[in-house]
Amino acid sequence: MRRLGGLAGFLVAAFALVAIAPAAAEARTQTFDMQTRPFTLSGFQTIFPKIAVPTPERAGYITQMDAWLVDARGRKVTIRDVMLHHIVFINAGRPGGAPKRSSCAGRSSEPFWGTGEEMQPLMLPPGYGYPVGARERWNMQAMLMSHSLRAHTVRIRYRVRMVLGERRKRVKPLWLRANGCAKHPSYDIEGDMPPGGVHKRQHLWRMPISGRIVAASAHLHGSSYGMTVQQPRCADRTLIDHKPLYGLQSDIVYRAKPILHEPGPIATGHFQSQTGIPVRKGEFLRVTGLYDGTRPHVQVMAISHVYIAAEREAPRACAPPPTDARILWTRKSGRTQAPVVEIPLNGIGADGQVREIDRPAGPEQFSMSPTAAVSLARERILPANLSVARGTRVNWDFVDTATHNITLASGPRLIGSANVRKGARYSRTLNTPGTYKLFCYLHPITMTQVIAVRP
Amino acid sequence: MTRVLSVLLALAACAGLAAPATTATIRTVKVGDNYFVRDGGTPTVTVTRDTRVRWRWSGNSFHDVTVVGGPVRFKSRAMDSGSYTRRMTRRGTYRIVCKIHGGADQSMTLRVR
Repeated sequence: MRRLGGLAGFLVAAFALVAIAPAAAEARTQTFDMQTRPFTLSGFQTIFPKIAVPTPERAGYITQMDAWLVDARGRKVTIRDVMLHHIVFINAGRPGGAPKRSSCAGRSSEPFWGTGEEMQPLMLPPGYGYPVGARERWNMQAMLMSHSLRAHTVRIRYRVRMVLGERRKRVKPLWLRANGCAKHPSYDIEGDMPPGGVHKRQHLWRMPISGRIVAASAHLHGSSYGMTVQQPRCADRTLIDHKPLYGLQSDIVYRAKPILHEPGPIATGHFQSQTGIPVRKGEFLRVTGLYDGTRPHVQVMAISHVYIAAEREAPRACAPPPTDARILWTRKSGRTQAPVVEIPLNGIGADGQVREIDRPAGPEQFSMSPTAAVSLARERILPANLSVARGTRVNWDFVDTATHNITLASGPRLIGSANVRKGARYSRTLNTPGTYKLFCYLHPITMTQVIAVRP
Repeated sequence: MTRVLSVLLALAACAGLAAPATTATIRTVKVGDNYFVRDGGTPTVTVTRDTRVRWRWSGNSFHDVTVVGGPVRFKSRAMDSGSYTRRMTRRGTYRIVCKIHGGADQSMTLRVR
């Protein structure tokens, strides 16, 4: 609780800072404190709301933003009940107006702030702002994960700090993902690298405008070593080195049971420079996500949210990095190395309490066949315990009309399906012996499976 | 009309005879996936005092039976199969929800006369 208090304190301080900063004194700044409609999550439910949200309905420049979950009485909701896995605010533009541009072609709206477990507020350096119109519409996409057996009703509360009635240097937000413009922002890591192996995913992003990078923050998942933004034009030098900070063993993200996913960093550092790093229209930036490659990791992300102050022309020379470049941290204490976290399977005991389990109930089905059939039906994975020979092709058939998935909790290699429903089949040939613990992350208490792959 | 009434009265009398006050009757309430009794709405179940109400799980998910308003508070554990029985000894109106799915999703009213 003290940690959360500390974070809240920091946010309050950060918001207060702008009010007293000399640069902002002449301009009128105003904080708009808003919230979404309520969402009810049943026990262990995960939801992905994609909704239109209230806006300040004022023209001006956004300089700061943050968000958190609140209950019906407005109290902060922690991961013990519901976790805000990630949130993105998207500007859809004004009705009939010019379409907004995202970093990926073919998407006519512009994400302008997003964060995940790192809970990094938007913070632009003095003099800069993200321009918004009074009639622009905002959408919000988020992922909320219940960690509680009880139903909870929560809202997302968000604060938008704006400069009104005075111009700011406009920033253009770019969402630079290590996996490019792939359909899903996440990617999987197989976990087949030798000890010390670092998994790298890389994409070259063409800059749509000239200008200066004045702020950048990163969204990373658990087991990340960080991500970098490099400039190939200037001897591939590193412009931004995003480093994750993981919570101490005592942190709520490791203590809140049941553990349903690999906890992400509690902070990723926020790059800021009032001078900015020049980038030229048409040049490429190399964006690299760095993860542990020795163990499988499900649906990781590496996204750098880069804010560029647009300018007609940027210098061609590769000048040294600006001296005012700095990394701001929302959290002080933590671990720089990702802790190894084994995700357990969970179930409900005869006493009605949730606890970690070694394996689901039921006998083990011993299969000698080169293929093994598994069905996801009536909110169960059957057979719940399965033994197969090495090299067996396992077919998971989705029978329920409700959406399910197969997600790896632990095991020697990756297994992981998309969220699919009735009629879908997910297949994987299991060539690496060992014990694979699997679950549906949409039904983590009822849908679990253990597959032993014999050597 | 009088005929219908008399039939109803006769039926009521039969029910009374079939359930002497000494042996409590059992009323079964279905616990489905995110509903009680039937899918949709908040059903009302009316029983007489001393009736044993048996909630019987018929769905796939975990649910519980929790009284959130009424003369007596009680709750079952979270279960995905089986049944939970409670003898209703106090008259009144009970608001019952599944705490796992929340009152907006899964609730019922139990009236004990």
